[in-house]
Amino acid sequence: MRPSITEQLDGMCRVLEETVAPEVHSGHALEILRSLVSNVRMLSKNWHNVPGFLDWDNGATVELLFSARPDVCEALRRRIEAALAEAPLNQTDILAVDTFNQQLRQLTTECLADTLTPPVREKILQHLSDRTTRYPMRLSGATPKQTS
Amino acid sequence: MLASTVAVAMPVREKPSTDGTDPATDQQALLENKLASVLLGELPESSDIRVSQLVRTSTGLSRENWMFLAEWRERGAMKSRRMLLRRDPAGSLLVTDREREFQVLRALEATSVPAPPVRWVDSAGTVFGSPSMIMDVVEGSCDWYVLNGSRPLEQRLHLARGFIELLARIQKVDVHKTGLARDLGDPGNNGAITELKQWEAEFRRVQLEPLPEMELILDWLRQRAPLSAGSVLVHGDFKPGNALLMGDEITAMLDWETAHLGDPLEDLGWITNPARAREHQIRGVWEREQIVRAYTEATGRYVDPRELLWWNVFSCWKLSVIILTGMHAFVAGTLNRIYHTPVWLFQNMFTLMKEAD
Repeated sequence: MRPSITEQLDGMCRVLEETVAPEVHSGHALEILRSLVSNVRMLSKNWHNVPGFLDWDNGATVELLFSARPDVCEALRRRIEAALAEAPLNQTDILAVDTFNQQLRQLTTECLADTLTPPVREKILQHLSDRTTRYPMRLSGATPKQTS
Repeated sequence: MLASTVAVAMPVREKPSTDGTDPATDQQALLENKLASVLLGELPESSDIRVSQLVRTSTGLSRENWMFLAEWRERGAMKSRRMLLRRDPAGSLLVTDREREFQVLRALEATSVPAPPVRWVDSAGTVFGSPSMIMDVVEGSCDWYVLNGSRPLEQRLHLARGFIELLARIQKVDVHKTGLARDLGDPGNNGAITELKQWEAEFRRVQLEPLPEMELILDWLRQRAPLSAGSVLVHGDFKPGNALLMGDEITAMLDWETAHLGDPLEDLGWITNPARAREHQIRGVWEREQIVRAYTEATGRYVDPRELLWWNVFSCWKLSVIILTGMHAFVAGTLNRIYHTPVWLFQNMFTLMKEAD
């Protein structure tokens, strides 16, 4: 499948930088253009990590929610069990996997507001910390360095 | 509502229309004429007001800043001044009130805090399509990372101390005499919880997805919110990136849109926040310890390390909300910059919370 997704994204950056940017004469617009190119570059570098990240996050969160079930109220326990029973079977359906991820994270939020035992709570904290370091979509803010 | 502004902001001129006129030039002329008539009302002894060179600057991530040259005749002599139209964009990192910012800047004119003099405000947005204000341009340049830039270390340390002395001056502003206590509201010793509630409301407004990290940290902040020792004027985004410099002198502190009355440690928490070290600190010589010592010397206030740590976590949480506001506006199609979930701040906050507990 050529050009590949990465090749297309990299090519877009090249065209924007070599063809479009020299014709942009407003400093403000040029800065916006540069920040967009940075984002496309970040996507090019990281897009292929997204499915693996979601798969890892969903797997770990399912385990955490399963272990949190005895600690939470009846209504939340039922919702956790219902969600776990409806996990997407097709892991290549990225939209379904992403929707499931949001569902799990909503349940995690509610668990944290409930009365968890310290070990379960600690496990969730550890996972959220691990998740921040693995998160694939990160772009340092494009802030102007010097202006007069 | 925004169409006229977008036309002026377009860097590549549109093709001339079939009747030979240039729409972008027409829009620019229209805006310059509007600015001239606004200024005519603000400069009662003036005549022959002319506005030119209107251009949007790339500075300012939260408001549109339009620089222009105003020229007028006053008592027979020609005068000129560079001015700035600060206007609310359709989408922003911050939702703030121009009237409030105007009140703060007007109040500061009677103090020793350097800030741009303001001329006019339209909080209803009837003239330029959204809330706007006009202020004078103050000479100077802005460098976000000046403390870690190419200047010699001694100069950078001098500037760093200057920033803390300026913070002390801001905190010494008499909020009753200047009317700020009346205009901004005084939270008394509840500065921490008041700010937390305000930023929580903003978080709820802009949240696009479940964020257990934010909820967890919010809960931590709620349980440990300190009582304030007093109430002072807080800038709300005190940093070199919001200051103008001429040589070694700070000529103006800008962007007072989040200014409020609150805890004396709030701005210090922003400055000593490890997530912003590159802007505020110089490794080895101007770090937390030196900054706190300089602050205590300048203000006479004791800094409780645990309270400062709370304000560090709050600073990261507030910054996360600001970034989430940008994400929300981008997804809504009202902001042209892309922001992502601030996971790097989550990590910083987890580390600080561990340190505090």
